[in-house]
Amino acid sequence: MLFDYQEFLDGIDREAYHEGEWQWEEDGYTVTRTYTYSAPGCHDSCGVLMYTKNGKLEKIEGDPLDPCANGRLCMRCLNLVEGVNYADRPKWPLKRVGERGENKWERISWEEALDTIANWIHDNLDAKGLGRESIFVNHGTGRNISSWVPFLGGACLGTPDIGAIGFSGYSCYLPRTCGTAAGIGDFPIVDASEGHADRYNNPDWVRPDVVVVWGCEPLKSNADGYLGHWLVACMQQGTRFISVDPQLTWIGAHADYWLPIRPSTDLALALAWLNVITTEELQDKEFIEYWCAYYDELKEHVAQFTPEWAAKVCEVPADLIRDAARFYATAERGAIQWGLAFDTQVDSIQLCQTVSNLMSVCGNIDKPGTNILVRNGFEINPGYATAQLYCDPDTFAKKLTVDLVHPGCTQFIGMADCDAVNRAFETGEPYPIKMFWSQGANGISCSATAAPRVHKMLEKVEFCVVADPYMTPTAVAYADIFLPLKTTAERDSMRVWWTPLRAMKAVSEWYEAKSDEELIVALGNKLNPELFQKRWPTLDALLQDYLDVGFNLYDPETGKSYKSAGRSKAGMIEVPDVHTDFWKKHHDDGTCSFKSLVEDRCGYEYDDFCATYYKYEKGLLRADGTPGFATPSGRIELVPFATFGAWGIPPLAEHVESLTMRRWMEDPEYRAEYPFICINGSRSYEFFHSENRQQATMREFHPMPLVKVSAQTAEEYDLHEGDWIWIENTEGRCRQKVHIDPTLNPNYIHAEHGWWFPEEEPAFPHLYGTFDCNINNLTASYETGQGGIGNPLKSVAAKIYKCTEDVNEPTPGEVVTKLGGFRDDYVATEPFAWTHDNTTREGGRF
Amino acid sequence: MLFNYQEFLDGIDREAYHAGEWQWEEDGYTVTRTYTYSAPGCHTSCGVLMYTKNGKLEKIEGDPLDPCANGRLCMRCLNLEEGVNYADRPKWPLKRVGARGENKWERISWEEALDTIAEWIRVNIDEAGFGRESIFVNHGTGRNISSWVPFLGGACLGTPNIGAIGSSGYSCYLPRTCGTAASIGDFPIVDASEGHADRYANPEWVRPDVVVIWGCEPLKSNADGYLGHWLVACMQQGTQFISIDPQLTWWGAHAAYWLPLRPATDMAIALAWLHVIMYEELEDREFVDLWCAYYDELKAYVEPFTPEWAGKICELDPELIRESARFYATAERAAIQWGLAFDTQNDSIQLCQTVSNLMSITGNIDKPGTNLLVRNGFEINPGYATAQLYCPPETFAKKLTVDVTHPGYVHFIGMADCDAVNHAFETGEPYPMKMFWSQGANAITCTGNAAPRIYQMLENVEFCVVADPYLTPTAVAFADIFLPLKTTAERDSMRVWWTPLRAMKSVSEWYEAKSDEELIVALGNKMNPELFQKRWPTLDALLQDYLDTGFNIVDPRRASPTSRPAAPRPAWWRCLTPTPTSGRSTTTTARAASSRSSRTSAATSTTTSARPIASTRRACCARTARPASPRRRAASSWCPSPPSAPGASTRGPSTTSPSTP
Amino acid sequence: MKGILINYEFCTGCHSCEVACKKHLDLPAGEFGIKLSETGPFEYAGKAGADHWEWTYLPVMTKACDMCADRTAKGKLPMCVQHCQAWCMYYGEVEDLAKKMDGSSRCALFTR
Repeated sequence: MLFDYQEFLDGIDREAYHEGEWQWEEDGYTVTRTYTYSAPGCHDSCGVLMYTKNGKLEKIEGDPLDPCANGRLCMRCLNLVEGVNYADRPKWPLKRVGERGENKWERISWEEALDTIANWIHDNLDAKGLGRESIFVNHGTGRNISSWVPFLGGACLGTPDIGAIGFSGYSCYLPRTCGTAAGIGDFPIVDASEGHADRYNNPDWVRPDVVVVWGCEPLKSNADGYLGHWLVACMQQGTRFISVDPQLTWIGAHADYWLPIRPSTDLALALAWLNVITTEELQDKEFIEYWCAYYDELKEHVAQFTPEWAAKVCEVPADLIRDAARFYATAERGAIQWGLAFDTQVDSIQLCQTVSNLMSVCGNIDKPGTNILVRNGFEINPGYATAQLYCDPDTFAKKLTVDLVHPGCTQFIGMADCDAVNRAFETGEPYPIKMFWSQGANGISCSATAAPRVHKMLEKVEFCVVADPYMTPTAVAYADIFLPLKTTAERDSMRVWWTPLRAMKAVSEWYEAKSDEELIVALGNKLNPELFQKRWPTLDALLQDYLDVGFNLYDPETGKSYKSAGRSKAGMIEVPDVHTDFWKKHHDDGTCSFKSLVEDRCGYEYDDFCATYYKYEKGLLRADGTPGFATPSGRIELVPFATFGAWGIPPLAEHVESLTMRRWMEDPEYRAEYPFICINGSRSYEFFHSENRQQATMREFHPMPLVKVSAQTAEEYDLHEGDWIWIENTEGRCRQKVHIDPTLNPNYIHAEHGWWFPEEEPAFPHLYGTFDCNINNLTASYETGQGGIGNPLKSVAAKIYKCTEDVNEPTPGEVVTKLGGFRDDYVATEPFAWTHDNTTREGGRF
Repeated sequence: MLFNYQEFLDGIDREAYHAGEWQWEEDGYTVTRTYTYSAPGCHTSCGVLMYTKNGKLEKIEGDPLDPCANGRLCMRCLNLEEGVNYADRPKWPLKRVGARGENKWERISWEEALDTIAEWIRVNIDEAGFGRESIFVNHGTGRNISSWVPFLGGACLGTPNIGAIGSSGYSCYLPRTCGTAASIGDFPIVDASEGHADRYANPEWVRPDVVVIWGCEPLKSNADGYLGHWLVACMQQGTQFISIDPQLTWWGAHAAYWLPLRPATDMAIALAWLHVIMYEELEDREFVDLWCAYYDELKAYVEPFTPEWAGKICELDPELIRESARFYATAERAAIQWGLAFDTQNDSIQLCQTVSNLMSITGNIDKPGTNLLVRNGFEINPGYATAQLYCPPETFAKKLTVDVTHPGYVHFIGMADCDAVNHAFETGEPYPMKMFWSQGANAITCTGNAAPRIYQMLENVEFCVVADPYLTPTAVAFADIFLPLKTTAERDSMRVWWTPLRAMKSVSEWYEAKSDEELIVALGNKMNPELFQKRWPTLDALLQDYLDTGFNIVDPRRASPTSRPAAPRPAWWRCLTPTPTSGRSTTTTARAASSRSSRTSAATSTTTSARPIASTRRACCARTARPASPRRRAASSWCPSPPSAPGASTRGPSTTSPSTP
Repeated sequence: MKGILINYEFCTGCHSCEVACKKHLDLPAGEFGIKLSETGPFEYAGKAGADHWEWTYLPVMTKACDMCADRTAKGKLPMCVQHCQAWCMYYGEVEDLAKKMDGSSRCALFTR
């Protein structure tokens, strides 16, 4: 084995990399040891050395002394300079002067911009008796701003309605947090010793024997605070793999077992694995006896779900299911790496809970080399639920919740329910949405399912503010006011996603751009002066508060502390002391500050929680310090009668097909018309969602959106590498370039998401080409699973045909922005018009 | 440098490769040490080990003990087994039963096939008042059968008309042989020590400093007896390269200079290079003085052909032309590797001659690491001209020559002139083409330019025989009789293209297929029994004669080989005699049997204005006394004159002035 | 003699070495100091488990590569080695690198 961590550490010339110093001069550059986050960024943060000259970022490289990434970087950070110094980045606030979509702007000062916003809110909401709930704040995906934007919504704008427009079913990450919270009470991730500063040298850590890479491509995504290549380090140290993925990935090609299941049938597989484990007595009896509950009920429930049953559903041989289950269960230390596919199915919540059962029944919980339970370091927990802290309670009570769209479901998510928001936009019920604030998000290009339908929701919104480092299709289409944001190289900020706490030190400026944090301070002091002048008059105060109390509520007079409910519960809870562990640890030695974190600790600090194994034995998981898990019974509730019961979700998991998949499987006529299952949104190394498209080097490696087709399909349709083809179903169509993948199942195609072309015409109808290639022209909102969770956007039905002269007009851009969209028969809360009629109309409009 | 030939030789486990043995048993196989040629083959022949089981070729690998290829093979031989064992190979002679192009055949015996052919010729040619010249024999490209098919044409069918239908201008290799014969008298190839059995370990050999890869892709073609990868061995030992090619090749990407000229403008570069070399006095003054003639006339002629002039024609930067010319000329040892592009231009004959001048004026002739002059080993020279040996003289006189279609031209090529043949097919002039014999050739798919026009020539030919290992488009389109031929694995034969002489030992059979040689014996004994029963009754006799006389004419009654005029030198020789001879002119200068070292060649007879070569003191200076001074030395005071008598000094060319008939 | 050892069994084709090098050498579009080659994906009939598929990447050093002479002179790692996410690139003396090649997984040793 060539992998040798100690040899790596010994091989680093500590003087050459200025160990211990956070900033120094080198070859005429100022070098700053810091961390990246966003934008442009990803879910992770790697240690970098930023080289600046005259205040301008010129070079970047990894920091070998950073324990998180050990000096390694992916393409995105290696190319950061092109993103930060992109010439066309907006330099100052802009006011729209032409029509929406004309891309005509006028420079205004920050003062005028904020005044305009404040006055508009005062004149059109406060003065007219409309509540602040009529403001909808759209945050982007969970980078380090996923707590700041909700905080802005609640504390500055006073609205409870924070979410992602058109993004039905919270179909990103939340299903997994809720699924595990219900059964285990905490979130499990694969132990690659990321909790320890000494990483692979840590004496307690042992590499996993088997890792199941299930429904994700960690190497390309680096999703959810997890660097995919940590798993390759484990592989080099002997870890073996199982891949569960409709498509072959690099890991799948190196795995002992590859299960190419039919998309969105993961729950059937999970139930069959439980069947094998429980019937062949492969479970960890001792762990179950001491720490789990309802094992017998689970065993009885899964008895019906044999591998033979699952083989028909998943279209994978029964023996392969059985052998893979045994391979996982019989491993001394097994772990499961899961990803977004779990969040995009109509049985997502039960799927996530069931797969967490696989971890539990095998005892692979919080042991070295298994799925360890993690929380944000130092209990610094501002997140999506931060809005509710400082939003007026009466206004907060009007939050758009899931029961408005899915009667019988109860709201247990911090954010506003996406479908309730969609419905409010479409119907004005229970109240009209008057203002749309989008920050660090590009909804119509990226996350909004049924993007053409979302355009109809937004094109007439009365007032729209977009804050972003770049001019995006969402900004050009709707913004009245555009606020330029700083990129990761220009921001003083911090983030902790599990561990360590990491600081981002600003190394350069960009004209009048503000960071998300500076925008909060400016907007807050304008709109909510009483609160902000008291607690957050300046950026430093804001950063300090983040470290001291994580924005929780602390009343010095009464000494009472109120904490946001955190992960999965709405509302607030009173706590004895709301200060963070970081404050408790450092307020005496005077280093509880952003400045000292940057300068004295090179920008990071590990906390103990994620570094400790067997936490459930040591009473670290329960608020009262007793052994056990943070569940009602203190045991892992394999069948979550209590929590699912409270959330209105059946505790015993059943595999459910989406509307489309059920019709695709049962209606031969429909399948003949739409022969392919279109899997969407797999990641690529070059881009993070809809970011990085401006960067020349990224486009050199990945110039155009690619739709993968099988060799057989290529032959049948006479397709060649690089041909443009249309991908179409009842909701709409888009075009992408063919890439022939000899390993792809002939029944599937795979389309990329998030594509737009900064080099092309911004104005309507082209709108940077964002609708022409947008696979979300084919997805549908409103369809979700139990608890309003999980939208099947990664398994739609589609047909394909070549882009030839006679069928290329009108372009999707024209259809959506000029011709009234692909369909005009949407019914609020109804996903597809075809549920009542199946007319497909000519002229590119359906 | 990692390349180490001795280390390679020392590293070979001679026992594992059965050094010295030609055949042995290994793991249940019979292993035969032999050489490949065709078909399927190429212009070259590599040493192979053929693994057969129950008489079937199952495996092949290179033979590390073979000095030609040192055990290495290209894809084509590595995949030979698929070619040899191709299931659809015709198994026995076939007679067409449907209309031409219907691909309907009937199995016939060899006896019936040969009888049909003989009978047809007797009835439709001999007795119908036509001569055998009305038979046209189409040979394929110059693999080892390039001598057998002309021999079959002349000796068996008695026709002088051997050639390649539709490939006007002999546009493959002949332009280069004629261009160099005109001034140097011999053919130059790049010295990669291929002439020595000890190859790169040969004490005298030195790797070239600069090689010009001009109008060819030697790595893929292995053309004309030359393994392209020998040049990569030179590259590893330090040789640098110039690439002259409209397209970037692997060479161009690794060359010091790449000249991407406009196609078919090579002559402009050659003339410009001559201009640069001569006017910057980069020529090898001593070599020019001692061994060349007409230097001054050439220098005057090329005066206007500056790099600037050539740059416009070739669409190249004149400086690139100038610098690359210097790079070639100033190298101590330089060589030019050239290929088919030279044969496919309207000024081909002059181009080839001019490029050979580049070799000559820089002295890069026959020195180690330069262009060395080569002839077929052991003077075994059957080639395209073999037809005329045994074709009756009266018939031979009617050969379709170049002047039929290009009045004023003199015919100096062994083969029939391609355009004259085309003309005969299209007009019946000077006589109709009645029969078309195609052997180891697939003209309408490959060599025949204006293929649709050729189709019109052949679709109504009265009688057509196609001999080939595979049923080809040419066979399906035109053949009345199809004769199955053996592949390289099934043939006992030999070939020598430069050196060494190599034997192909058959290791397997294919039903009733015959080798080209077996076909000659069978057809010859059928059509020309007097000659064949006397000289080649059997295959063994034919092979023996190839070694003994190279098919030259031997009259056992007369000891000396000159009893009947043989044509050792290509017919072009005659055109140099001052007064054009009438009727058939035969050159009598049979090549004197000579030992390797003191080889003499028929020197060019000198026209009045050539300065004679000194035959006295200077010519016999020993090689070692040669001054090691830098290339450009003061002109010596005397000038060369022709040697006065045969057998003169070893170094200088001796001439036995051609006797006029 | 310095060299770069690539334990390409674990190379995931993530392009980091290519971009890190391009940025360091400031190479324009279309030029590379190190370029990824991809073999497969194709399958071996009859082979099971991890032996069934061949999907192998191998970065290849080009003429533009100077093995980061300027960086290594100052004690830094070559840009590709430092940024390799898959931990499969090593820099050092050829003799030492050769000793690391223990036959446990496929390797290639590159020198100038």
